[in-house]
Parts: sequence; structure tokens; C-alpha cells
Amino acid sequence: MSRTSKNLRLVQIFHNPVTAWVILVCGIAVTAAAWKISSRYVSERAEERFVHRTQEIELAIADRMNVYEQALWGGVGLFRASDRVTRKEWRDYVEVLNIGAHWPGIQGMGFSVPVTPEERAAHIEAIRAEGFPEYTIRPEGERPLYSSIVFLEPFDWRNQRAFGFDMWSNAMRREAMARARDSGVAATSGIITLVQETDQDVQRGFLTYLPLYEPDGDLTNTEGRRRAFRGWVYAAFRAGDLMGGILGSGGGDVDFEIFDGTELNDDNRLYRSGLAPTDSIRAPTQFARLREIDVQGRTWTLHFYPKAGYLAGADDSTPTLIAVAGLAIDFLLFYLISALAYLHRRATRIAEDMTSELRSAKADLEVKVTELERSNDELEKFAYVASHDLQEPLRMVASYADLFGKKYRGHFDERGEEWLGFLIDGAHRMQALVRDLLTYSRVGQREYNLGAVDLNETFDSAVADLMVAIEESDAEITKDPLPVVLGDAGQIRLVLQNLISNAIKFRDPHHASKVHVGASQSGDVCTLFVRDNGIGIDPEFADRIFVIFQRLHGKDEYSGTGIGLAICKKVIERHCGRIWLESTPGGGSAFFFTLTAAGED
Amino acid sequence: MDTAPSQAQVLLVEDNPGDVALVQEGLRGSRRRVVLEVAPDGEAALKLLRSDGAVPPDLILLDINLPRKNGHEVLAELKQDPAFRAIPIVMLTTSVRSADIRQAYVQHANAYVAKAMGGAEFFARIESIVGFWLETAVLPPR
Repeated sequence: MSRTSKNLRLVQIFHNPVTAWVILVCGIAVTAAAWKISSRYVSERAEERFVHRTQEIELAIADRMNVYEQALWGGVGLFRASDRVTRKEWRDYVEVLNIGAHWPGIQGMGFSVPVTPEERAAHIEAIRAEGFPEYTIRPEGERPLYSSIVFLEPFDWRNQRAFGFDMWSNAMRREAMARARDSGVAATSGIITLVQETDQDVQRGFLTYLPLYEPDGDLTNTEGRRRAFRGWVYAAFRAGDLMGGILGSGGGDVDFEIFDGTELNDDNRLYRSGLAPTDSIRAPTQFARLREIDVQGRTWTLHFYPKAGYLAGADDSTPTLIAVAGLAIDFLLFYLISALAYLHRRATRIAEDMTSELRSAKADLEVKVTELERSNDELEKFAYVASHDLQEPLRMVASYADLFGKKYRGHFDERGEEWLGFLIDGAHRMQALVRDLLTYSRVGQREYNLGAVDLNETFDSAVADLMVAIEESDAEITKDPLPVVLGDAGQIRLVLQNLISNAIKFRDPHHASKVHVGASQSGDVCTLFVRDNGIGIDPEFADRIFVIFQRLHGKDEYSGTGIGLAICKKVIERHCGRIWLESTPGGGSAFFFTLTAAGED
Repeated sequence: MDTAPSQAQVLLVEDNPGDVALVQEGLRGSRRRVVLEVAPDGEAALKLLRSDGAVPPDLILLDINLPRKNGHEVLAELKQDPAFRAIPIVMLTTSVRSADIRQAYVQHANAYVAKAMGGAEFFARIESIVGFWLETAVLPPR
């Protein structure tokens, strides 16, 4: 039962229009949440990818700068390995490195020496003697200290523009040169425009300097390093070529800018990989990433930002898809449950209509049953009173009819005699009728005295009452041992008496009448039967015979009022039993009836 | 028995004239000469019995359902009265209620006879009452 009511509750929930709205609202909320979560997921994925990419680029730049520094240290090693490195040896070294193929971005690797004003003239002479008559230290002018690029490979036309250039004269270069000299480690300059640049494809550049000292100098402090200083091994970088080489086929989804220092402005921008970042791209702050790296004593700020169209990648459609599909499902569910609710309402209304009709019909029926019971009751009372009070006058009629018959028979003419006969017969039949009617109504009116009834005694008593009829018909009445039942002894005797009396009355005139009373018991239900070998009854009439005043035969064939079986039925039903007939015409009849067995106590 | 039976005195307490006539008719067949007195109700019966110079009857036929005093009351009074207690009283009534029958015998009715439904049967019963009480039985002497 709890499962049924649970199911019913489920049905009520899902067949409710409110549920449809609730589910719609919930569904939209869930869809919105899913959309938001997936959006965030997509953007987080994008950010992760972005960050990963920036880390790759950052690492590549740092690595490349270190590797390039190593190449320069190789140059330093070359100078340390021999007393005097010739222009030819330097050229060989740089040629072996094959800058153009393996070290993109290096415009040239060179060697620059410091020159004091005192040394200047001799220095110029010495270089010119190597076969460069035009050589001089540029720019011209008097300065407290000079430097000069003496070697620069590859010594092509572009690099030849830098030959003899005094880098110390330029503040940006000087800072890095001094730092390298004083610290003993590599030093990268700020942004410069290389001397080698022409008007075409001007790139920003920088220089990385490595200091070269006397092998036996005291390099433990700045003063010592200055005293032992011999020159700078350096490389000139064009930032565009260098970064292009680092990134290979491009930076993927990510663009970046490199600023020298920490201030992000156009002057400080060393390099930009693609288009300038637009406001729309910069807007999602999670996609702008600033990283500071140390490049040989110089701080570079890397500004990463996504390429235009980065967010419009394939992943972006997922949240939209979720939102659209989710909303579609939400509305479909809403429609479905609304439809269910509508159908349920309709079914409920129909059911309610039917129920109320049924209820009013039932109420009508109850009223009618009550009326019927009352009228039935009244009828029984009436029948009782009527039959009881009819008895007295009837007794008079019958008695005086008899008296007439006795005293005055023979005093009338033939018709008078016949009429007297009718009078007497009618009076007696009416008497019998009234007597039976009284008996019948008494069964309904009288309280019945419940008790244990030994049917064997009842049988004997009934047979004794019927003795005259039994002797007249020469019937043989037999019985099995009968049970003790619960009931009203007088009424049950009436039943047995009526049934036996009927069995005798409707006997077959062609052979001796035999009546047998038997019983069987199942649980506490006793089934009794009265079986005869009489004329039998057509099964068609099996029910009709129990109706009061129903007679199957004419009055002149068989006497009787037609009340006997109605009395039997009434008595048995008052005992909560059943009475029925099994019979075939000519095959005898068997009346069965049930009674409750009396318990042991 | 050739000694001619003497005259018998019978009191019938009965309110229904039809029954009175039937009883009279029934008594007609008796071998004894029966003088029938009739009281139409219980009080009348007692009054008649107790009137001065009244000859007590040999037999009383007493209905139960009577006006004023019913048969049971009359029976009880007569059976408590030493003057009448010896007179046999036969209840003659339509009632077959066991309560009536029992009460009658408890109050010392001498017999209880139900009025038969048919005339022939009724006469037979009257005849048998007369045959027993007036012809067979020996009654207390006057």
C-alpha cells in the first residue's frame, strides 16, 4: 500500500502545472550554471594554454640568451688561449660558428679594445698598418677614454660600417661595457640602434659584452679587474632576427613584447612579435601576462598577450552549445509536463464527475434501500397482524361452513349442495393460507432463540408431526446421523417439516415414495439435504419455487399455499445459510441448505 | 352404563357468540343432558358463580382472551377460592402460545384445549371434552 501511495504522490507531482514551471525555472538555472561553468572551463583552459605558451617562450628566450653568451665565452677563451689573436684567427672562429645558419639574430661578433688618449695615435697607426688605411676611431673628437672595434665578423659591408666605432662614446653602450669590465661577467646593454643598420628594415638591437682580462691579473676586485682589463668580446644583436630565430615558426596563439627595463612604453620596446595589443584583447586581464627576466644584468619585461581571435577558438562554441541545447531540453520538459498536467487535470475532472454521479446514485440507492426495508418491515407487520386477526373470523366462517355441511347436507338442491362444497373448501383453503402466512411473517417478526439444535431430534419431531401424511402416502423416511447445529430449534424444525412434507406431497404416483435426509460438513458449515424420488422440478424454476405464493402446479393437482419454501428460505437466510435445489423433472429433487455447526462448547 | 346420566351443569365463559353457538352445537351430541350457562366476560363469570343461590357448575370452559377480566385472572381467583377450587376448569382458547399454556397449568387449570380451526375438528374436540369430563371422569360430588 505505501508503494502505491508513493507512486500516486509521484504522479501527482509530475502531473502538476506548478511542477512544470518549477522544472522550467530550475532547468534554466541549471542551464545557466552549466553555461557559466563551461564558459569558465573554456576560459580557464585557454588561460592555461596561454600561460603554458608564455612559459615556453620565456624559457626559450632565457635559454637562447644563455647559449649565445656561451658562444661569446668561446671567443673569450680564444683570446685567453693565445698571446695574440689575429684578425684571421677571429674570422676563423666566427666562421666556424656559422652565425648566419646557427645563431640567428647576431649581427656580428667582435672585439673592442679600450684606448687611452695617449695610445690613440699609435693604435690608429697599428690598425692602418694591417691594410686599412681609412681606419680611424669614430666619432672624431677628444674624449677621456676611447674604445675601438678592432675585429668584427663577419666582416661584410654592413659590419664594416662599425669598424673603428667607439662604443664607449655612447652612454647606453658605455654602461654595459663598464659593467662587464668591472664585474667580470657578461653584460647586456639597453636598446640601441646598431651602427650597422641602414634605412631599410630597421630593427632595435642590443649588445652583449664579455670582459677579457690579462691572464695573471688580480680579478678579485673591481680595481684589479680594471687594471687587468684588455678588451670586450661582444656580439651585436638585432632583436627582430634573434626572436624570430627563437620562436621558429612563430609564437602560436600568443604575441609578446619585450621591454628593456620595467617601464612599458614605446621607447623601451625592444621587440614585438605581432600586431600591437588592442584594447579588446587586453581587456580580459587574465590574458595579459608580464614577466621580468634577467638578461646578463639587464632586466627585460616580457609582455604576453593573446593574438587577435585567440578567444574565438573552437572551444568557445561549447558553452553556447550547452546553453542552446539546455534551453531546448528545458522547454521540451516544460511542454511535456504541462501536457501531462493538462491530461491529468482532465482525467481527474472526468473521474470526479463520475465519482460524484456515483456518489449521488449511491445515496439514492441507500435512500431506496431504507425505504424498501421500512416498507418491507411494515408489510411483514401488516401480514402478521392481518393474518393473526383474520384467524378469528375465518375460524368462524370455516366452522360454520362445516356446521352447515354436517347438519344440512341433503337439505339443499343440487346447486345448493355444490355451493356449500365451494364455501367449505374456500374457507379451509383460506384458513391454511392465513395460517402459513402467519408462520411466514412470524419468522421475520419473532426473535429467534439461538441454541444448539440436535438435528436428529428435530428430524424425529418433524416426522412425528407429519405422521398422518406419511402413513397416508406410505412414504419411507430415512436419515443419516445428523449434526448438531446452531439455530432456533422451532424454525429449523419448520424447515425440515416443510421439505419432508413437500417431498411426500410431490411424490411420483407410480412408485413408493422415499425421502432421505443427509448431511455433510466442511469446517463449521453443515450442508443438509432432503432428497426424494418424486416428480422433480424443472431447473428453470429452481429459483422461482422459493418465492412466496409461487406454485408450479394447479390447486386441484397438489394442495398447498405456496408459502412453505418461502418460509424455508427465510428461516435459512436468517441463519446466514443458503438453500438451493438440485432436481430434474422425473428424477426426484434434492433440497440443500447450510447451517452453522454448533461448537464443542 | 344404563343408569341414565344425570343432568350436568357447565359454565362457558366466552365473549364470542359464534363460539358459544358452536359449543352449544357440540354439546348437543352428549349422552348426558347438559345445562349450559354462558358468561360473556370474566367479571360476569365470577359474579354469576358467586350470586346467591347459584348452583356451582360441574365443569367450567374458560376462554383466555376476555373483556374486563381475562381467563388467567378468573382461573387464578377460582383456584384460590375454596368454594370453587374443586371444580374442573378446561381452558378453551384460540391461543397456542406456550406462555399461555404454561401459565394455565401453573394456575392449576385441569386441561388446556385449543379451539380447532375447522368446524368438524372443533366439534370433535368439544365432544372429546364432554366425553372425558362429563362422561368418563368421576367429578367431585356437589
